Amino acid sequence: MKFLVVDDSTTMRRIVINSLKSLGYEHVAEAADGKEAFQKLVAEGADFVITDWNMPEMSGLELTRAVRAHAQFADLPILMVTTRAFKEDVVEAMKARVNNYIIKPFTPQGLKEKIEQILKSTTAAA
Amino acid sequence: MDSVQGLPESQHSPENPVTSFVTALHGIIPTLDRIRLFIEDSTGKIPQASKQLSSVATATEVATTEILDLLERSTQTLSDVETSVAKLKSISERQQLAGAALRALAASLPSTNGTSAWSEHVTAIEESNRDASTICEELAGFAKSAKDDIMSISIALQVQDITSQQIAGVSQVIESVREQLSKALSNFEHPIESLADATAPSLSVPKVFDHGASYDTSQDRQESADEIIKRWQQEGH
Repeated sequence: MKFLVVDDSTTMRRIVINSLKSLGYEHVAEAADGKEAFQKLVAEGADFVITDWNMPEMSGLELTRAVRAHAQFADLPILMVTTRAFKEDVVEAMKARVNNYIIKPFTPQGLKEKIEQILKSTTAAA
Repeated sequence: MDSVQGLPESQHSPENPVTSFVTALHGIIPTLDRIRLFIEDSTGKIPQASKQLSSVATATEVATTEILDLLERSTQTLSDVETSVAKLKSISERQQLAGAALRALAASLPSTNGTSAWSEHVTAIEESNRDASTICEELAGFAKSAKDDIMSISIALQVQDITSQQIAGVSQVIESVREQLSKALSNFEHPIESLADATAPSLSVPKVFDHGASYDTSQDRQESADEIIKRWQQEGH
């Protein structure tokens, strides 16, 4: 399974990638903003996107909307990992059709649970 | 009270409202001048404060990168240790099989069958193999424990991303105050000469950030978010 980790913070990208590797997911690509992520997605593909919200160029929310508008990626699993913790933020992300939502700082266990939940629900839907 | 220069004698009377007004203005001017100097001084200091915040953000990022480099190297070293231990364990298991084969061979040979020397040697080999296997398992456990600790340290470094967003928020407020003070200064007759120097420095903080970012390790916020998501999904959106 190929992951695409999207965050403008190099530190956060490394932390998420290290967490994924500790969970046994070795195939991971990365992007520094939504625009780069979307370009990589179209060019190289991915099976799962983990994205931050607040980013320059294109936010995680805009990326999610762009991905959902693309027929090829309409059902691509997307996990939002963000510091935004207001109820309105979570609702806005769900409206944009992210599959799930993690508030930073996250734990590897929390990340594992969300990934498994998403994979389970998308497999069941398929 | 000082006499008011340039006014006809008749207007020097304290009862005259024009005299009172002019006298009051004379009293205000030094105060306004002090305010101007204060604003000038404060506006001049703000870029330095912003630069200091920026250097804190940069130093934190550099230190975090160095820590992550070390942690990733340590994780790789521990993975190498795990690989070596696994090889060692495999060798130990093969030796255990060899020991069992040796025991069977000894039992089948008339010259050695039943002699205590052979039996003792084979038993010693089997025991040392079992010990080696146990040590391998312990080493694998230590390596895993150390890797888990490294992961916990790595996860805690999320604090750098969160604090950089907090610093960006503070920098934005400072810049807003600087702009307001600069506007206030432009209303004076002699605005600050070094206003050009008081422009905001470029900061090493995120350009886009969350004003409410906080390093809160309790699970309360996540649980609230999970509840919203659960309800959202139950409503069949």
